[in-house]
Amino acid sequence: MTWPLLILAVVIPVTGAVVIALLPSGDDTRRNLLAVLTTVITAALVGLCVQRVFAGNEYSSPVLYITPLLPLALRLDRLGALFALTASCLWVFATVYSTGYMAHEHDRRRYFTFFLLSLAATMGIAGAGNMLTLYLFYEMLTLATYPLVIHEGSEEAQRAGRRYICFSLVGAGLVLGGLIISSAVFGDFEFAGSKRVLDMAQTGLLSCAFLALFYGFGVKAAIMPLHPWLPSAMVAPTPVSALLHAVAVVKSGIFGIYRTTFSFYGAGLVSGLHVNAFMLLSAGVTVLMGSVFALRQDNLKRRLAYSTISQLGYIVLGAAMLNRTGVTGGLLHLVNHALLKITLFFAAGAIITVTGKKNISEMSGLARRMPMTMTAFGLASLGMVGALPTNGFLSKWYLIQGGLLNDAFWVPLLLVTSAVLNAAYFFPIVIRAFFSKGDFERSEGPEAPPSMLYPILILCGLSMLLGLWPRPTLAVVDVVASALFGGVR
Amino acid sequence: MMLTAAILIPFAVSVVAALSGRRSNLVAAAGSVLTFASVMSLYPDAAHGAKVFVSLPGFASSFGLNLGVDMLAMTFSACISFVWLCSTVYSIEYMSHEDNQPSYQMFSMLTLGAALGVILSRDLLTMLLFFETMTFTSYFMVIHSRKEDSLKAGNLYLFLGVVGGLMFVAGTALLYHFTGSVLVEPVGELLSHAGIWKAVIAVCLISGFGIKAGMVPLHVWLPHAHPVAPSPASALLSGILIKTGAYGIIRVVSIIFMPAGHHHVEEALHFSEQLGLFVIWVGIATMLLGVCMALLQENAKKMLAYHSVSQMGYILMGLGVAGYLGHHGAMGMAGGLYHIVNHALFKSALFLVVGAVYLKTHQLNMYKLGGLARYMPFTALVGLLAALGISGFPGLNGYASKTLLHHAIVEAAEHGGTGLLLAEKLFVVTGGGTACSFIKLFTFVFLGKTPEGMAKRYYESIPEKIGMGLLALVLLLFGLFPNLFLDRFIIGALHVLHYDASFIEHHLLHIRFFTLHDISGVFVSIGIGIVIFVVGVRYHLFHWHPPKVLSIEWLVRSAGALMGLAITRALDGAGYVWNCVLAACRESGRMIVNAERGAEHLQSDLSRWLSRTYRRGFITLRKIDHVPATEGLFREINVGNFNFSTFILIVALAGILLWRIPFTRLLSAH
Repeated sequence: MTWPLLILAVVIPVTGAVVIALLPSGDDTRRNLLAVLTTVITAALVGLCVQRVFAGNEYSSPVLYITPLLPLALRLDRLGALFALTASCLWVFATVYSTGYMAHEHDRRRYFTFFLLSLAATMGIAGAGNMLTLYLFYEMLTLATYPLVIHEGSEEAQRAGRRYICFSLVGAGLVLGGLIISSAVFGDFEFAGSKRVLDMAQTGLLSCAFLALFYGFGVKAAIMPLHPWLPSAMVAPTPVSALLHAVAVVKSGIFGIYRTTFSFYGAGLVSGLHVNAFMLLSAGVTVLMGSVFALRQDNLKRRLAYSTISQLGYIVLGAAMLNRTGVTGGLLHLVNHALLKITLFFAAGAIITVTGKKNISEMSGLARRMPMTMTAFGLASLGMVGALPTNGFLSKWYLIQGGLLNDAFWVPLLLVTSAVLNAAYFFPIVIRAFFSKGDFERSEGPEAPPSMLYPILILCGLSMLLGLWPRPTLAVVDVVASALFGGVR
Repeated sequence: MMLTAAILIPFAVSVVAALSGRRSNLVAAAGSVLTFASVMSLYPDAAHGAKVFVSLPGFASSFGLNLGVDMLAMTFSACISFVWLCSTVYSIEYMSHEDNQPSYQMFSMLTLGAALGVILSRDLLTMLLFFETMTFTSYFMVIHSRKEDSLKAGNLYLFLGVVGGLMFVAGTALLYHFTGSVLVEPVGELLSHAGIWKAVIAVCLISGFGIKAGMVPLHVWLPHAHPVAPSPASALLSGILIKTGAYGIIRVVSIIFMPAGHHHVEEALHFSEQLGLFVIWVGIATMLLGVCMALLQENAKKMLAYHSVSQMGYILMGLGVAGYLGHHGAMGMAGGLYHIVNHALFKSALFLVVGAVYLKTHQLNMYKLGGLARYMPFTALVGLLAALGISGFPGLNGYASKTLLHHAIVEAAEHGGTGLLLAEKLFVVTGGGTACSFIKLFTFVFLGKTPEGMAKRYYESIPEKIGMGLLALVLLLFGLFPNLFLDRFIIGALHVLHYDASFIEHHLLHIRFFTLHDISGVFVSIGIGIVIFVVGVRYHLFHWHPPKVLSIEWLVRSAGALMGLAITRALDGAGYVWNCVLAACRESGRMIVNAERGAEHLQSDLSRWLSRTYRRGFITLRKIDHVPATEGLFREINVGNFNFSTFILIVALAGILLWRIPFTRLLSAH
């Protein structure tokens, strides 16, 4: 009887959210404590589950039938475990960071309530036992994050929120359509990818359904040209941008794509459908154009947002290759990019809190004021470029090898070009902050509140550690990838 | 054990130096001595052909870190750590006049560790790790002064360094795909089925290293980056760091083109021959262009930087000959390797000399200096030796390697076409240009009259003297006994690279350098140099500024600007299209809304029309049975007077009649 743990991982954040909603709105101390505690407990629970999953046990809850044809179930397998672990651990950091960042913001009670609800939805997505459950939690995530996006309440935030909802709903509609068609063809919603066989008569229908699912999830994964909601959603408070738009929301889109491709359809079936040309093309265009657009942004968060779009393209590219090496690269990048991007966003948030500067052109000499933050930013951007001692390199290496296995010789060219562009839009920030003359004074004492600075430093250190000593991630990701290909080595 | 130590010591010292404030210069000097000692302690093993390996699995990539040393690596690492030692000792004095010494020494030591790492790597990914580390740490040496021009030069340096690193990544990834190996070992035969990709791998890897090596046309960063750094750093950048690029090229060529066994030798050698010929001409172009640009400089450090480009051309030419002649190319390789070491020695000595002058006079423009030999005799002596060395004067180190290179190009010309005879002539002319440059430098800085307003007394400190003196000593040693270094180091390196052993035995071992023929060749070069100098000074040719259009940088910049413009335009276009699409979406949304409204209209119109029609129809129908209330005429002729059923009956009958009566037959009867 181990499955209740899994349900608890969804229920505990919801409970936490409810309790926070019931607390008086002025009671910051207790609220912060409760929020951090909830995320820590959730992460611990997930950690416990994940450990057993990788030991070979599967978690599956009893199936709950809405109608005999619509089953809901929670089940944690290796892919889900990887996602759940990444998300829940980063949530802890983000919550700690939020307590510092939100101290000067309004409506903190609403913020933390929905922050925890989003965690619940994300855990649900990771632990979903079939596509239907995944879809339900996926919708829940959209609704739970909407209030976070429009938190500012300004006209701009409202507009961004409308955009977010519109794009998400269109995506969800596509997902639903694809789901209905493919479940009609398969007769179930199960993750039985390894057992599916291609029925020639239904190739056309299945291709359409698959593409609908791909682009449906692709809205959240910010595949071009379905990305415009992401940069405009940067009006949200920085921890939200960091967590939701670099880690949880976008990664749940990615997760949906991986689930569809490898668990629901199965790599064999998808390669039989001959749709991966679409996937490769979309991912390639996203990688390149995301970087190119990022070059022209002056607002730091928007630049990071476009960089996210480009980097998400890498992960989709890994899925699109439909071979184990590519998937290893994609999943490695899922973890590595999460760590690096959250560091970068946290640094951007710290800059906003301490100096109020949002534009890169105003950041000359900033490192004099915030040396540690900017060092972390510099190291993380090295990782984004994929310089070798950082963790960004290895995922690119696997992606290139995966592409070459498919005889896609443009993949190295694409990744190298994108990396050059990465350097071209990240390094000037760092150089400007460190070496240009500006009016920032040397800081006396801490540069940002400890609750913000420590997450930055710890996460940055973690990504550097995983770069120098990549064995743990590599081992885990290898297991996941082999599970996705039916355990074939 | 010592192998790991050789790399770890500089990294450890860098931390200590960063923390030790004003003593960081001394700490770094001590560290560089230790490093040199630990590198040299590897010599016995390497010389006996024992390959020392260290593997640290699990680090940095899935292949782990693999280190090893053979004679080729030994030659380079000995040279690197020795020059570093001299420069760091020298910097004790020089850097004490600059800000941020701990930062400089930290990055200098980090760069030393990384450079040694590049040399001592056994697989390409480890090499890449150190290569990129080196790019980033040496960037901090370039921008040490934090001035506008150094930042600008640094940006270019960093950007090209990153591009080079990524080319390296792409090449390595392709190589791994085709051979399944990233080890620095010959895998030529595995690539025989790779076709065009073999050339792509070669281009990626060679240009990746070529950017570091300052190969034309990838050299644009070099003349900017080297002069802006503090002089000890310039010495290292110009003397050492570009050599890591050369080392990489040598390794890459041996990986790709040397077969592990002896299969497919023919094919591999054919390709290597073509590539070799190409590299010879690139080398010639590099040396000629470099020397021409150097002649036109007035900033002494900039002139030295252009000479670095030019001298890399010599080295490339040597490597090209080695590739061109295949198994028998040992002469070219020996010349290239020897010149790498020699250039490291005299170029860093020259930078240190110019640095010493700058430290005292704060003047780098050589036309505004003069007569310093009287006040700085030691510096002037070292300057003279180094200038003679770079000009290839017999008895100094440059002579030996230039002689070998000259032999090599003559050999290549004998083997190949007449085109290479021209190359040989250009080689001699370049030598003349080099000699002229250094006659110019020495004359304007150390001889002649001291300009007005310059102080007449200068102090030469002990660390400066030690740093420059050590270099000058080795310069002289190599010059007087050229076989010493050749036999001890370079022959071993040639064996590592699988050159024909009997060729080495007969033509290189105990080669006689001081023959009348070779010496007279050198004097021809120097004679040309003197002629150019006299003519140049007489007619003020050295002050000519070439139009911007001629410079590669201008070309690159304008190409870049054009590309940027194109991209911007394309982006604007894409943005426009995308906006159009969005607008279309919005319009279609509006249309749907409008359509809905339209549908409402339509519905109401339709229902109105329906009800009207219905009403009319109903009235008409009613009229059929209508019995008008009025009397008279109307009553008589109204349809209403017919009985409705009678009316239908008549119509039906008429129909039947029309149908039954055979009109067609009636008509056709006629």
